Amino acid sequence: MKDNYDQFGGLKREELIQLCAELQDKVTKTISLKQELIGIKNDLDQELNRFRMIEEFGREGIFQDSIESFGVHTVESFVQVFEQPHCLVAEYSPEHKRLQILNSFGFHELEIPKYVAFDAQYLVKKEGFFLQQEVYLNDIFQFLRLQDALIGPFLDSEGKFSGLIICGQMSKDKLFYSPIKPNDRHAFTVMSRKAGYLLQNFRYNQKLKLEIEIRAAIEKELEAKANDLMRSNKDLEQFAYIVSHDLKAPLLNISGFAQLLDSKYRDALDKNGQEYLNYILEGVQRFRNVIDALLQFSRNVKAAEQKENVLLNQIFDNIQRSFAFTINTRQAVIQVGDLPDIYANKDLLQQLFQNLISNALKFTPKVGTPKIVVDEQECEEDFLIRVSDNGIGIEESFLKDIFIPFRRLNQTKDFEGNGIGLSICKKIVEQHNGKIWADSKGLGQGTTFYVSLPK
Amino acid sequence: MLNFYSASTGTVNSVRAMKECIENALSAPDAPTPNQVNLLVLHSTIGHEFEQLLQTAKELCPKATIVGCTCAGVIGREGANESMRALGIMLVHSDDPSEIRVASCENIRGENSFEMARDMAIQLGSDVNMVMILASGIDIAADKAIKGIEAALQNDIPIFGGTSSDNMRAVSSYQFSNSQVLERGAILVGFADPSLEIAMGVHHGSLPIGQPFQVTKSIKNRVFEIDDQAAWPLLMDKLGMPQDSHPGPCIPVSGMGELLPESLHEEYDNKHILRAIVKVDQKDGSFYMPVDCPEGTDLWVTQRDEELIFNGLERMMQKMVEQIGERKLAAVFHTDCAARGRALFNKVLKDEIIARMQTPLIQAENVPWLGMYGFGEFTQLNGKNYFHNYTTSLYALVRK
Repeated sequence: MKDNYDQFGGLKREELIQLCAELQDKVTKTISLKQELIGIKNDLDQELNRFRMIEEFGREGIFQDSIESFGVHTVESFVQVFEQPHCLVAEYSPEHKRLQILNSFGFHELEIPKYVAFDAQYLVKKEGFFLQQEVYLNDIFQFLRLQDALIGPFLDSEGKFSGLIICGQMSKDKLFYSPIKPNDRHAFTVMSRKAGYLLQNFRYNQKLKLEIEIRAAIEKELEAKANDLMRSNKDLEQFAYIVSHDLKAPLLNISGFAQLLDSKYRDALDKNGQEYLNYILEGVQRFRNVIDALLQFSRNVKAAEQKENVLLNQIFDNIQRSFAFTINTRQAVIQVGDLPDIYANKDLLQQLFQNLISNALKFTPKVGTPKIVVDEQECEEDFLIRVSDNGIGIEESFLKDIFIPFRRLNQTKDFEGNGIGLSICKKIVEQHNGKIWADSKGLGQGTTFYVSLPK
Repeated sequence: MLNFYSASTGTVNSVRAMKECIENALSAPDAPTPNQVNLLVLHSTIGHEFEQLLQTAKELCPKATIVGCTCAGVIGREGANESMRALGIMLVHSDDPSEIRVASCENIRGENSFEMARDMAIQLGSDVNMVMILASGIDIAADKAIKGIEAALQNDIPIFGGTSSDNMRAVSSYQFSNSQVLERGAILVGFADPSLEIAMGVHHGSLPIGQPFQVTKSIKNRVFEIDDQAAWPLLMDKLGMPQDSHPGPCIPVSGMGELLPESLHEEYDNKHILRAIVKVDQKDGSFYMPVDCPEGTDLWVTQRDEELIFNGLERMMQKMVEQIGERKLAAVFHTDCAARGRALFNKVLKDEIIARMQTPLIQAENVPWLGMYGFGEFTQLNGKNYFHNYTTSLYALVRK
């Protein structure tokens, strides 16, 4: 009897064996339970890693410098993160109501079209969803032959649909690929959102890049033109300087000998000879004036850099004093309005308005009374000064030529001049980044000059 | 003299992945050009486009013999990657190409594993000093294959390597031989570099639970009954799983322990060697073991012990470092059981385990490393060749 019992709680041997077997069964069963728990824990760990990968996708996505590399980066990242064999990314064009396939992965046996007709109004879902749940999309993407796939709409920052991504498997892939879990939808939505923002960001950057490129090209062109202009200006100044100097020396000779002739031999000449001598002396004087004007034209380049606050009314006071004799003689009337203070080179402004007033006085018929009005016109961005006269006026077709050096429109003896005054005016105004133009209703209708200088 | 270069990548585009690996592996200033590579060993997870991998490898390394197999994950110097598209490669170059011998076969199965392996080994030549084997993980009788190789070469020829796997589904796994993708193939690579020796380490970290089952009906490696009941349904019942379960998802829990001879207990750091069941016949409830399993064999249900895994790994590495001594490492090959990958460890633990293996061996030196998570491992114990499951097996190729 005793053999059937052991010392553990008086259990029979068979009972003890049975108990051990039951215990072992229970322990054995816990192995699969434990593995199940490990599986759940590892699934959570994988989910965490998945979100790390999604973060990484966003970070790397910023550096994609072409739409092609954006497409490749996107499909490959989705394949990696969701461990699916096939993926396709497309951008939506609302104008054409179509999707442009940017890239696809794993569809080697299929021909993927470049565009797919698509109307975003039929897509109401904003989150990731199963392709098979949406009849409209399922029909459109039937050519992909996907049996199990998720779609993630791309939304821009305003929530507008801008594209989509599809990732999934065909029926043949089920051999090795697990079906997509409903839980995957959340991560898929998050990653799709990121992809949508990346796409939007890329398009913005692309636009900016294009604008920058265009601006850079324009700037380059402008710079080249400015350089050309500067070069030609310098050449012109150099030319004018050289010409005037080279001409001045022989002119001095002619002038000297003509004066000698005049002082010593005038009486020895007959009436015709004396008249010829007068022509020589007058011609020499006019020539000297032209050369002086040329020299002046070529010298006032650097002066514009020295600027100060200039009281325009004071300038006109000075000018009127300078022309006091002519004004009195011609009984000219000069009305100067309330003029602004301008930050500019005083000497050049003096010369500018002096030339304009001189012109106005000069091109008034000897018989008439010159009337000159100087005032400021209202203008938001610039100072706009108007100098009007009641002179001989200018034909409309010649208005554009009056600022060209030595272009004298009136060759009559009544109106003397060297043809460079207005050119100097233009040069001075341009040196101050301003504009000058003239307006006239025609011959005999007077002329108005406008000078616009930046505020 | 053989020189080794390795790289791995998680790039999903197969063409780019192969290009990237070859470029990175050969980035060292003293590396050969791709054109000079004699052998390319690749491990790829199941999602890659195999034809593209092989074609790209051939285009870039036209003189290289290409061998490899699929796996559940790749382990490189860069760490482990068990995604659906991971790739690892080892490139081998020698001024004397005859130091590398390769043989392959198709349709290796349990019943012909000895002959197939023997015939391949004969092709390698008797002067090889170590053999790497990459074989189908589902169909092969690994112990027979070992015997076949030993019969052609010598009993103590070091055999190392592993069997291919898929992503733990145990549906299909593939082997690569040049441009061929095989499903039931095997490849032997013989190294005949007299300056090379191999040091191996193996550990599994599982413990048996209670009393064993006894195999009561079996033919070779096919077990029909245990404890007089249909083998697979009984095992599933004991594990609390549906009787018609596919073996793939059960791999992490269905490992069977077999008692080792006492002389190997210390070397193995365990009394039991583990066997994975990767093929089941649902009609009669039989399952296939990777080695012969005669009637009367005791099989234990086993349970993994995390502490034993980590401590055992420490002991294994210590032994390996002692084995290697002052000798210089040329390369490390590594096979790990697929069930020790993400089915068991999260990323942090996995990284920790790999770091504990790699740090003592490769340290600051740029030692090439190619590993895979497969279905089984070929590793020596006390100088004798064994096939294992559920282990980490390391093979350090060292200069004499």
